[in-house]
Formats: sequence, structure tokens, C-alpha cells
Amino acid sequence: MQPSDQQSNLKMRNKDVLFSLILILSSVSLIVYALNMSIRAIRTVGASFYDAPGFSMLVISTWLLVLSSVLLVVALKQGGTLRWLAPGQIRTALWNRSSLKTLAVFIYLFLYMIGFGQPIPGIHVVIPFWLSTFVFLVLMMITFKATSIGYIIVISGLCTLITYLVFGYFVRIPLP
Amino acid sequence: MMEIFSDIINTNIEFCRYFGQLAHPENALTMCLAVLVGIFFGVLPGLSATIGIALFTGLTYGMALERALLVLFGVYIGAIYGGSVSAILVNIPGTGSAAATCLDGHPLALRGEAGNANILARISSFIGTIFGMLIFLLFTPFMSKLALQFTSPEFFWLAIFGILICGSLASPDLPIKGWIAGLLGILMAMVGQEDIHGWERLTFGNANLITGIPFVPMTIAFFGIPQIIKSMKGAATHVEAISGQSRLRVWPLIRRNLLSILRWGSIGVGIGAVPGVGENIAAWVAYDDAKRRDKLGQKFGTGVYEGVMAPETANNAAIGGSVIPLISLGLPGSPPTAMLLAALVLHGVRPGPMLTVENPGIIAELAAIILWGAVFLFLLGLVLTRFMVKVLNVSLRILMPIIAVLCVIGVYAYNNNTFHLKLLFVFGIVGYFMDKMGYAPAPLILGLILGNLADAFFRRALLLSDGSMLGLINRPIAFFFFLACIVTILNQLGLVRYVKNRYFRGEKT
Repeated sequence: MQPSDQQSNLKMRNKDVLFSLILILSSVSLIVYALNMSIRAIRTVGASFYDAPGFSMLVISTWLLVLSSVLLVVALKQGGTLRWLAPGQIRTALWNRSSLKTLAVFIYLFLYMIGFGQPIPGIHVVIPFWLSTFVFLVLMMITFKATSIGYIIVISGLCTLITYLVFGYFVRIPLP
Repeated sequence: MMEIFSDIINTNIEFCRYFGQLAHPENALTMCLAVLVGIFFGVLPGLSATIGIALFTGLTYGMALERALLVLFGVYIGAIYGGSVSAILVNIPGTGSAAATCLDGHPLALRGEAGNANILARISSFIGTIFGMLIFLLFTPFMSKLALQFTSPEFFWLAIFGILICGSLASPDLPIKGWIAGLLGILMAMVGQEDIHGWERLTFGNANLITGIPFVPMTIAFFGIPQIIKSMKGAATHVEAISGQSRLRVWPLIRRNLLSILRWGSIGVGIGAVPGVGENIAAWVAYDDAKRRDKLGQKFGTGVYEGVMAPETANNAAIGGSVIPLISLGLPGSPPTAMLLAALVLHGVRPGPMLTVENPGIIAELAAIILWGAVFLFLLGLVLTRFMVKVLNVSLRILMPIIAVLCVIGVYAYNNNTFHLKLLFVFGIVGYFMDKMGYAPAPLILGLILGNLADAFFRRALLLSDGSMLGLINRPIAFFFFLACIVTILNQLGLVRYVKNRYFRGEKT
């Protein structure tokens, strides 16, 4: 194995340790939730244990617990640790160009998919979909320097118009 | 048996009738445009067949079912072929299924044989699609008849087997991650009101979750959003396409490799028919098969014609293969067919064993659509390949925000519910992080599709057998699938290989 491959493998195992721990905790919570639900169903609607609503969830969560434990062991055996979660290392990992770009995409997607659909505080007006689409396209392309600003505005305007005409007018799909 | 044969003959007669119907100029034009758009999606790295179908599922919402199927299959067939164009010319696979084509396709282009590689890819894709269609036409009536005999235990084990095998094959890092993704998908499917007692599970008082987590927004979230994020944050690369004329005597080469082509086609159909696996794996397995069996095996990777033909035949043959379980069992054979399943549901059609009873012409109709798709793939590839390469000059940073808009419209069109947009955002982010940690989305989506069925069939089978676990395995087909599950698990744990080496080959491991 090349040193770069080894390093990326180790990075992956580090992430596996964290994710397997999250999975173990989640599956334990799901087992408790499924047991509680089954007991309530047995008491209230007279269900038997194996047709109770929580039975399949109990089985699947138990499998998940087993598999995530195996994943944890595999990751630990291959050198995975949680040391990368130390504050200094986390700061370095998060404060770089790539992470900031990812964060920017998250924020724009959030604004477009959720934020723009909510009424503006104070004036209780919802931004129309065509406007939010245009603003989203312009912001995304400008932030990531897709092309010159003039082109970006033209492309975004055309896309918004075509989208509105094709979906809203010709195909008659209700738009958000 | 006679009944199945008469079904196959009837299907073939119906197929000829549908094929003639689809020759109507309006249908032909629709198919031609759909294949063209599909090739466009395939050529562009980052846009896959799945994303293409996902976006067009929304667009075809207002169309009649027949027209919608034409569009969606056209996009599917075009995209799978289109991936090879950028793989050969710029060494970037336009779709995952063309990754294996890069290995020999691009060296051929560098040698000045881009035209030869393109023509081989086109002919192999054409043959593969036709082969897959024929198998689909001949085997689906048989599979549908068999599926009618399935009861709760069979469906339960089939669902588990699908998730296990998909997890094993589709996981890029460790197979166990594929299985974990599958289990998470099953758990997500359990959100909402359950079938037997009408009990609400994991809804946390949210009325929008009572009907469960819909798989159309989830498919777009897990396949589309991570790709948008990755492409936007990636470096803005400009690619230079290599051109080259064809001077290859194609037909002697095809004749010489006829048996191999049939084998690669069979590999494609076989792997395509395994739930959730699809054309990406089919292409790699066929490439590996070609490399192992060919006299020029050691030269593979330096520009061998068979290295282009094998993956391109298999990935297109997988289209027909992946539709077999979709129509007969309601299980998608590949990620794009998961989207096709969503589109069919959107049009009020529920694939599964009863589909051919309720809609007897569906197999013939789909086969005719696939055949027309193959014809247009061949013709458009012949005329437009050189022009299609121009789309590689369009920056992904312009395309991806537009794709995001189309994703939002597609998800909203599914049920006119803004809550689904919130799900799209949340699970899109989850999908991005899962992708970074080496979890393939295919097993998760398969788990989501099959989870409710597996849950209901599992508990129903136990009810019927009065709580005895033997009730799950005391029928022959159920026992077969149970054994298949066990073998899949043991195989991944290396136990099958150990037993083979230790006891059958006499090796000491």
C-alpha cells in the first residue's frame, strides 16, 4: 500500500470509530424504544410479542448494534482513534478552504430549500419561488466564481424563466 | 409450463405491435430527444443516469404513462452509453458505469484511435442493450409467474438477500458498511404508521411523518445532493477532448468476439437483475472477465479493444437485467431503476407480481421502448458524439446550481409538500457525510424501499406460524433465499473461501 493510501485508510478508520460509536448509541436507544413500544402494544391492543409494532425494529436494531460493534473493532484494529477530535485538530480540519466551501453550499441549499419558503420575520411575506431560484443561482455561481458576473445574471435569469415556463406553464407542475 | 410458453409467445406478439406503435413520429421524436438528453447527462461527469431519471421523474409527472416511460428509459439508455464518451475522450467517466471503460478507452484515444474506441463503445452498448432487452422479454413472464407463488417468508428473505448482496457489492470501502447502510434504510422505512396494528413509529408527533419517509425525495437526497456539494467544492477543471477518426474493421472484430460478447451480456443481465447492484458493478465484472480470459490479458490497460467492449456490453445489458426484478418483484435492480420505480408509483403503477396481471402488456411495451432506445442510441451516437463532447466545456459550477433547482422542483412535484424539501436538505447533508465515510447510497435506498415490506412480511410470517421461526424457512423458495443470505454473509467473512481452500483444494491457509 502506498503511503498516501495508508494515510487515507487511517483517516477513514478514524471516521469509522466515531460513526460506529454513534451507531452503537443509536441502536441501543432504538432497542429501548422498540421494547417500550412493543410492551405498550401488548398491554393496550393485545398484540403478541412477535407481531407487536416494535418487533422488527428490535431485530434490525440488534443487527445494527452487532454490525456497528464489528465495525468499531475493525476500525480500532486498523489503527483508528478518536484523537482527531481534539479541539486543535478539529479547528484545523474545519478551518480550511475546502470545509468553508462545503459550509457555503450547505448554507445556500438551506436557504433555498427551507429558508426562502418561510415568511420574512416582521413583514410576514414569503419570497416567491422564481425570485428565490434566481437569487440562489446568482449567489451559488458568484460564490464559486463560475463565470463573469454578467454571464451569471444572464444564465440565472434564463434558467429561472425556462424553469418557470417549462414546469409551471407547459407541464403544469405546481411549483413551491 | 405450457402456460408460460403461451405467455412468452403472446408477449412477443404484443412486443411487435408496440414496436410498430412506437414508430409513430411523435413517439419517435420523444424517444430521440430523451436519448439525446440521456447522452448529455452521461457525457457530463457528475450527472448520472440516476440523477437524469430523478429530474425527469418530475418533468414527466403531467404526461401519460406511456410517454413518461419513453422519456425515462430514453434518458436511462442514453446516459449509460454517454458515460463512455467522456471516459474515452478525456479519461473522466461520465457515469460510474463507464469507469472501467477509461482503462482501455483512453489509452486508445491517446494512441490516436479515439474514433475506433467510440465506435466500439457504441456498437457494444447497442448489442448489450438488445441482449438485455431479449432476456427481459423472455424471462420476465417466467419470473412473474414464479413471483405469484411468493408469500410472506419468500418476500422477507428476498428483501434481506437484496440488501445483503447490494451492500456487499456496492460498498466502496468495507462490505459491512453496505450492510449497515441497508439496515439504516430499513429503519428509515419503519418511520410512520405500521401496517398490522396502525401504530405510529418514530414520528415524534410530526404529522408529516405519519405516512413515512417517501423514497423519491430520499433517492434525490442521497444520490443528487452529495454530488452537487462535491462538484461545487471541487476544483474547476477544464478538459481537453481528443478526437480521432475510425479506421477499424469493426465487424470482423465483433465476429471474433461473439461468444465473449454473449458472456459479457450475460454478466450484465445477471448482475443487473440482482436487486440494487446495477451497471457499475456489471461493467467491472465483465472487464475483469475479459482480462482474465483474453490472450492479451497482460496488455489490458494499455488500449485493448476488448477492454472497451466488455464493460460497455455489460453496463448496457444490465439495463434489461435490472428491469426484470423491478417488473416481476417490485425490487429495483439498480439505482436508476429505483428512480424508475418511483416514477411508476408516481403514475399510479405499483410494480410487483400483480403488475403483469393488472397490466398484461407492460413487459412487451417496456421491451419495445428499450429496443427503440437502442436504435436511437446507435443513430445519435453515430451522428452526434463529436458534438456532444462540446458539452464538457460547460463548467460544473454553472450546471450544478441548475441541477439543485431541478432537484427541488422534482421533490416538490412528488407530493406538493414543502416538508419533503426539508427532508431533502437534511438527508442530502446526511448523504454527503455518509458518502465521505464510504457508505454507498444504493443499499440504503434499497433498504428504504424494501424495509416496510420486509417488516410487514416478517411479522405476518411469524403470525401465520404462531411465532415459530421455522415458519420463515419451511417453504422451498424461502429456504433457498435463507441459504443465499447465509452464504452471502459467510462469503464476506471469508469462511466460504477458507472452506474451499481447506477441504476442496487441499491448500493450507
